Amino acid sequence: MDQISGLPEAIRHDILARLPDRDSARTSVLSKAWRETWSTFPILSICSDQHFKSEDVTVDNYHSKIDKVIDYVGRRLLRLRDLGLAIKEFKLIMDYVDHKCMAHHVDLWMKMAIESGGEVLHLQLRLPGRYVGRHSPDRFYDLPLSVIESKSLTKLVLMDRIRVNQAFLTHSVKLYSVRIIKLCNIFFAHEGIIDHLISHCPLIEDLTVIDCAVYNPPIRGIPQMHEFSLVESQFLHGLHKLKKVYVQGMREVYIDAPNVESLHCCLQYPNTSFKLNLDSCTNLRWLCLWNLKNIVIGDK
Amino acid sequence: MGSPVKKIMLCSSEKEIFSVEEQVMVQHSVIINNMIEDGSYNHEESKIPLDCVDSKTLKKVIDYCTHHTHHHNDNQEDLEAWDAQFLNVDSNGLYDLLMAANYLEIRNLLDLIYGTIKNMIKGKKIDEIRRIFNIKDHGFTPEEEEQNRKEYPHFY
Repeated sequence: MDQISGLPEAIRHDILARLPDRDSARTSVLSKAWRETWSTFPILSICSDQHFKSEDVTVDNYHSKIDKVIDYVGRRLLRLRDLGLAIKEFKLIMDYVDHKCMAHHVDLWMKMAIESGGEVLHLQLRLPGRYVGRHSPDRFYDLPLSVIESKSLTKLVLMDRIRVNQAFLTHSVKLYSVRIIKLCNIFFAHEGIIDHLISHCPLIEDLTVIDCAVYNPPIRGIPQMHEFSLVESQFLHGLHKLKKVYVQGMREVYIDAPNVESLHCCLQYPNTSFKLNLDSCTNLRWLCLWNLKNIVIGDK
Repeated sequence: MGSPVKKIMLCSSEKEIFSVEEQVMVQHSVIINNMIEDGSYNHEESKIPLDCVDSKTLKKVIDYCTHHTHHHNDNQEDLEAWDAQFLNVDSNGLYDLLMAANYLEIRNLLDLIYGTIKNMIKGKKIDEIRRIFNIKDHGFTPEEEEQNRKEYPHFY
């Protein structure tokens, strides 16, 4: 046997982990030994771009293309589960998501990743360009509650077309190991959910919140005038490990975390006023404020 | 004059003994650091047997650790040039170094080797990677190989 195929599996996994997704996937057809290594590789990074080019998608072939991806993800996850291996990282970046037909697959994959003791979860669901303006409620993926029950997660990234429903406001959060959270362009049923989630991550070090919105459901079937509004404020209180914060699109930011070293704030519309309170951030070394015209900084 | 430099003995798979500054190995190898710290290495009589590392590879590993201990203040460019020259070996040599660095847990050497392997794979077509790593027998049946080519045409 050639020497590289004779390397211990742990070393070959280390090599795969350093390769860009496309190159690591390619090793699955290099040889039988590498195929085996690939099937036990606990880092799953699925991007619909790897499987089809978005310009090739038509109404007629959409389902057959997406079914292939669904089949592929299912096979890889099941293989790892059958071997009793943890799905260390699960990263799903999907274009052209028909949420109605995809949601139960994504639910199942997330459940498998979390139950196996997964450490990194990255979910990014995009819509094709021509649908972006349409905020119809069924065009969201509803995040399952099981995500915030994971004690093993260290990194959670949620981006685009994801909705966090009302139940998250009261559900107990068990993200005891989370160090990095990134929330970008996602929708919350209630403004308080972000604060509730983050205040229950005692080890959080790095937080990014970009342009998140509140979804205001119709009252008695009548849509509200503002179906969506920006999440306006962020309170970060008593997070002793928090070092790095990046906030974009909020009007008020209150941070009471003694070890914050770097803070980056950016407003979406420069004419809105911005309030910032950093009274107890005695270790702040790097402060970057963008796109602000009116700013009120707390009393000290 | 300070106290004489403390040395430790490393023994290759050919039973050749190499005498190295203790500090050099402690700084780079997690395993040797642990052995010195927990007292399992006795300076009077022990030598550390490295049964899976041959003399040629061990000499290179020691070179690496010594250079990086004494030249860590050099500018980044010089160090990178030295590393590139150091890893200018054939794929067998690279494999031996990888196994040794893994066994001795020399983190920065491992990262260096992984980086080199990454560049050997990145952006290449299957046939090219097979040639680079001398994979003559890929183990797939002709039917499986055909199937792979059909299923993943963009890999080839």
